[in-house]
Amino acid sequence: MKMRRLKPLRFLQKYGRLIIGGAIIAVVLFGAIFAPLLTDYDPEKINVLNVKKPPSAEHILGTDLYGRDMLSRILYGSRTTLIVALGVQTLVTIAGTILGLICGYYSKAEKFLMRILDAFSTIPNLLLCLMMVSIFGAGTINLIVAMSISAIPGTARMVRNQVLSLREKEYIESEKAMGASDLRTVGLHILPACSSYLIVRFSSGLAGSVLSMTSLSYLGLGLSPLIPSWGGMVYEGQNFMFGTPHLVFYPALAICIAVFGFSLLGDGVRDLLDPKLR
Amino acid sequence: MVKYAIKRILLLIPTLAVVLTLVFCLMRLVPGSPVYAMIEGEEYTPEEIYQLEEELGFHDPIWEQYLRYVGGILKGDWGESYVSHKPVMQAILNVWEPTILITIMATIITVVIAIPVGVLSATHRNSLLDYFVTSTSMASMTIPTFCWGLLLCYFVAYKMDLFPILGYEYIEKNGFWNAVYFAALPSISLGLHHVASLARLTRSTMLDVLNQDYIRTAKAKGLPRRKIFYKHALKNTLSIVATSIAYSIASMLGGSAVTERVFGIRGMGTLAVSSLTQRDYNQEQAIVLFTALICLGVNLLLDIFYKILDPRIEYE
Repeated sequence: MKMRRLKPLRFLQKYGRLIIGGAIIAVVLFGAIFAPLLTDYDPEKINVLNVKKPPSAEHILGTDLYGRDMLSRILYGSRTTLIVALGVQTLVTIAGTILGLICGYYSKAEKFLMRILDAFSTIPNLLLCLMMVSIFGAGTINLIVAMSISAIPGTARMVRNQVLSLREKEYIESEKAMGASDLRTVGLHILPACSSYLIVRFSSGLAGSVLSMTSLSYLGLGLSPLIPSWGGMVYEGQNFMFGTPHLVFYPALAICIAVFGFSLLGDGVRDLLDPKLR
Repeated sequence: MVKYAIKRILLLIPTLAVVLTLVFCLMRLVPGSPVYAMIEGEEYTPEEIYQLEEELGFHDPIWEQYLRYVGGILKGDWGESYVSHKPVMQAILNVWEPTILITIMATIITVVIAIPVGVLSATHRNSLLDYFVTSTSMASMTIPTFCWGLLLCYFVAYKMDLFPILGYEYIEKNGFWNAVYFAALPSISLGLHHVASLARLTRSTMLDVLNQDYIRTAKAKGLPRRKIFYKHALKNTLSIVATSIAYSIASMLGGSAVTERVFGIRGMGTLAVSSLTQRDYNQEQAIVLFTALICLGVNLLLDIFYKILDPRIEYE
């Protein structure tokens, strides 16, 4: 089949967000993976003689209030941010799909599960995270689990609605009439039909995960204070913001860049897979 | 209408029961005995700790604890804080004013800006205004609430000296407008993020509605543009947007901890975080429950509003 060639402007309109967002995220990923090669400074090494220094040739982004190199802290901070964001969305997608399928398929289980999921969604996101953090304790994996729980109901509900509307379709009914098992219908028809929605949800959820992760770390919850995190850096610098704005500015900028990249990427993926949602 | 409202309120009861149970179960999952929060810094022997737990009823069967907890909540006795030994409800009522005021103001800001902007950018699709709105809302959504707060704090409060940098003064102290003055920057920073997402949603919903058959019929009938947009399209858009407003309010209430931390305000969010770090689980449980109740109430009101806009809706 011959590919239809797009005019440059149309091409940019169609794939522009995907490309720019992808490029930004690629840079962030690069920084996270090669952090040890990009900077010589240890993000946790305290140097009391070199506190709150503005950006210079030695420390490109300056030093924080304990004399630690800001650049290396931001680079290492991107690791935690990316791991948590990707981990949360993966867990949400998997658990949400399973729960949604169960709800959509077994009407008895649905009433019970949907009630519980409803109850989860009445508790505001951040408060639920707070409760979860107090149950699971601090730590990266615990934080991933805690943050996922508040996002699972949304995905589960979406999958369930998909299943309910798909089950009405004739091809699913005829498949059933021919004696196909539920597992076969789910695997062959329902999951592939949901997949574009799931991918869209995954990619557009990433920006939200980064936002709530930084909010939690700004509140000093979920991670040990020793681990460099962007939100934690903003909080540490906040009290010295008026004298030395660079303490707050650079980590905040890092957050905005990452969120911007992920939102562009999410929008791009959505436009590509689901033109209806525009 | 009244019948619908009553039915809707009755249906709230099972949801409430599930929320109560959920919060109870989650709080029992928290590791470690809450007694340790009470005796922080004092010397106690294990026997004395056991004695204390016994007195507080932690060794009773779980269903007995559950019944006592539900009974207490229904009677209005939400328990005592493990740290300050005062009723938890009192601690909440002491600090709820800034949180509620900021949330209400932020909601007003969000709705008043986002809906007109979203509608305008949908009706003027692909115009300069539309591009401006979509790109600024995209940019505004990428900035987290606390960064907005710090930006406003730095430029509006510190450089321009228009608003107080820190703190909050209660209505009691200097009147309502003074409290609004103190709550202005926190509300704006809390609202800005939601303005962007609500404007985007309004725009896309409105565009969707404008593509419907009945709009085409209205156009074919020769109805004036203005009437089509504001009578037919807007009404149907609003009924969808209302759900998202309920969600925004819930997330603003939950996220109040962040704004309060930026502006150094002691509100419900700060109380939630401090009770978590002090392991004061009774207090935390009360805040979560209280916030969930407010959210359920807001949902109820918006559902009724929804019904007024779209009488076909039936609650199942």
